Amino acid sequence: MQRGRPGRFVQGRVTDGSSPVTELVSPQINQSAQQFSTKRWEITVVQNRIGRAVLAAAAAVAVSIAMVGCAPASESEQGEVELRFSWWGTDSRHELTNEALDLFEEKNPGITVVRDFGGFDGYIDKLLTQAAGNNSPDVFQLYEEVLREFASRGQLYDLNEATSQGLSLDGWDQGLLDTSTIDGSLSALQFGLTTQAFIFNTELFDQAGVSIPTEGWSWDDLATAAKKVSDGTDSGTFGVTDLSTGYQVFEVWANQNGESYLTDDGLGFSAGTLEDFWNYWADLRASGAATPGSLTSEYPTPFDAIIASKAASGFIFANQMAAVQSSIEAEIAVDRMPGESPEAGSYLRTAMNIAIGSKTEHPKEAAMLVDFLLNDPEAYAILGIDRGVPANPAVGDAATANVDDITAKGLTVIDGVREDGAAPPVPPKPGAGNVNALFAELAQEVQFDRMSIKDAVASFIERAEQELS
Amino acid sequence: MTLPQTSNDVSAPADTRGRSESRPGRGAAQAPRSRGTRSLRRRMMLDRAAPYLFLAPWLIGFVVITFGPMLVSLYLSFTDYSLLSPPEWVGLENYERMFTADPKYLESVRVTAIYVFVSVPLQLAFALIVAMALNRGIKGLPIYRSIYYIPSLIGGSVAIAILWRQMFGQSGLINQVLALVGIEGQSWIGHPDTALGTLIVLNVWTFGSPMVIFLAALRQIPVYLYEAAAVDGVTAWGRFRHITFPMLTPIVLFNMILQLIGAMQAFTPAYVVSGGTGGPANSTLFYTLYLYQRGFTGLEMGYASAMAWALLLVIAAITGINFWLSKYWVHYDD
Repeated sequence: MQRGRPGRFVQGRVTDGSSPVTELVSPQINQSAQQFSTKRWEITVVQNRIGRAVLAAAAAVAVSIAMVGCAPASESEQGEVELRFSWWGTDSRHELTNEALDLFEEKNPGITVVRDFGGFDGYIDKLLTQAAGNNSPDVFQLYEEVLREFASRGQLYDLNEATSQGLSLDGWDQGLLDTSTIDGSLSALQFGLTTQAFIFNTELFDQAGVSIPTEGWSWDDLATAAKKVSDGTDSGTFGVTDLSTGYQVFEVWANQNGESYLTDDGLGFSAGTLEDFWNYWADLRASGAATPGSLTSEYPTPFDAIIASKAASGFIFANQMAAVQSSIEAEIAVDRMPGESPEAGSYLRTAMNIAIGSKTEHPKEAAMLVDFLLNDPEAYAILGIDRGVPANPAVGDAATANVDDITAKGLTVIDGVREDGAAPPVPPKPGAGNVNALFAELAQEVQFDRMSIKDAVASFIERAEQELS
Repeated sequence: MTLPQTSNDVSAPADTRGRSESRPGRGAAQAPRSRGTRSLRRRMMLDRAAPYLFLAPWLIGFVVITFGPMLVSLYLSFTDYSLLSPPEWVGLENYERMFTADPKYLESVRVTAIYVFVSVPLQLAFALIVAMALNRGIKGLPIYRSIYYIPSLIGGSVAIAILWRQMFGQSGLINQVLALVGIEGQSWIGHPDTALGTLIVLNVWTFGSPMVIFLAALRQIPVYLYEAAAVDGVTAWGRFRHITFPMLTPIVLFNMILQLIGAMQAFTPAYVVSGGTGGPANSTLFYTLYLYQRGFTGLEMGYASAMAWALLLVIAAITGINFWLSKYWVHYDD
């Protein structure tokens, strides 16, 4: 045993290893093996111990060298191609995606997809770290807020080039392609579309004897209904979540006023518009229609307060309907955002993107995978609308064939927006992440009366412009 | 386990023989005498290297995982680095920006300072009081000691931070208890005036590890000092003030430095309780949380690295000041 183990190790290393470290060590070990055969085993044991220490260190070094050497090479010996695909999501998304990827491997023998998936928390940290280490996945899911940053730093493969390698863009809306075109290159494709919507807890509205607003309702209708619900329910329940911290809601508000939140060269709205928005919510807080500040900030995601039955209505992305409904007993209703006429503010929004890493060694196979995940009806028979409505209308039927009632309600809203919604904005400039955080931060200063609305708006504009410059 | 030294004598001849057998050509080219010394030197070198080889797992880890990245981050702190493209040298710009162009940075410094300078003294006082209570020779001391120590082990975890969210929320345990006595509490973690307070309470609650150290130190204080004091009729407060505390001061210093360093680097509670935002209204924006936001949300890893080095310098300075001040109040028994 003493002899066998190190001996075998060394043999293995010597035959395949060209590392100077292993060569340096091996005579030493071979020696001790020879000594063992002379039956002076006491000495050999001692020798072996030293030998082992050296061996252990050498093995550690050799392994790490081997690992470093292996990392970029993803081709195995049989000429098979290995692609790495990263995505975030919930368990159900992982199941669906894995199933679809199995189908892809079946249809494309010779390509193996390594699946790298997890929750949303920490996803971007990991992706950024991999990018910094030149170890990006071949194909990955990416959210809109960081798209421009990735694209402008040369991290994304131009998908226009992928069209000659197996990616088809037939049936894709040119407007959608334009929103993802950054510096002349098609940086990513929409891996699902969604839109801004409003949800209601029907039970709480019934309890207060308030009818649920219907399409064409205004922000004033919301204020009135929410006030009635607050008054007609328990003291801890409010008509609507205070949405003054949500830049996604303000984005709709700005669009409805003929402006926009962020443009490709900075802020796209006037101070007065943001003042109106924050004033609106201040009034709702004052009247008791909206959740008070401390309750709002306890539930960072807007629909969390609805799930907890602290608020009877609030903002949501239409594709998240099913997730909310599965977390609450009361029946949920959904409608378009308030204030959508005369000018609609909600738009068909990218729920997430799919992109190919610019450093991929297999652009052709990566293009095939992206094509499969975006354009293959058989894939969508599995994937459904878990990531939102597919951007390619050709697979829409396959994706929506088996949806349940609650999902169907969300789809109605998306269809309405597809018809008469606002134009989607371009991907925001680098620094948008900080601006969005700043928006919530200053809205909170207002919520807790630490700043006047005028000052908060001025401060937001000044600091946001600084972040975007 | 045989120590490497013992191997020296016994194995030396074997080594020589082994070599001459396996490489006769090379042996012949050299004088016999030199062959012997060479082999001896080799062996001695190996002996000297052995401790380092045993240290290697830690040493490699330290250099590769800690020290190397630290040096890299020092370099990055002088650059503009988005993680997605190579860093660009900007000199001291990041350091200037912290103090001149980033009000949120100063806010995070303020929040962290309050957290550190309120929670650490409270935590140490609490630890000392409980240690003294436990030191009165009560039954089942090991059990109590373990119970009070547990929060130290789990206090920094995500699970406890989530528990804290539940307890101090609008419908949390704290408000339910308050409701019993007719007080309608607000959401403690949701209001900027109280959110930091809940995190301070969390840190104070993890008083177990300084307590265990205090407890050990209390048992080291010679009983004859107390006996002498009793003969002189010293009050309980006097005994604490003139015997217990002076004898404990080295341990107080030790605990204080340890807890200060820990508190300045606290991250998890604020991250979990505020959902990563440092809110409401930046009231829980710990230094490290803001650093993380800049690095991974703002993609400003150069700036984040500069923040990390500024924190390191402040921690070093505060620790240094503490050691310097210690000569005025710490009593070493010699």
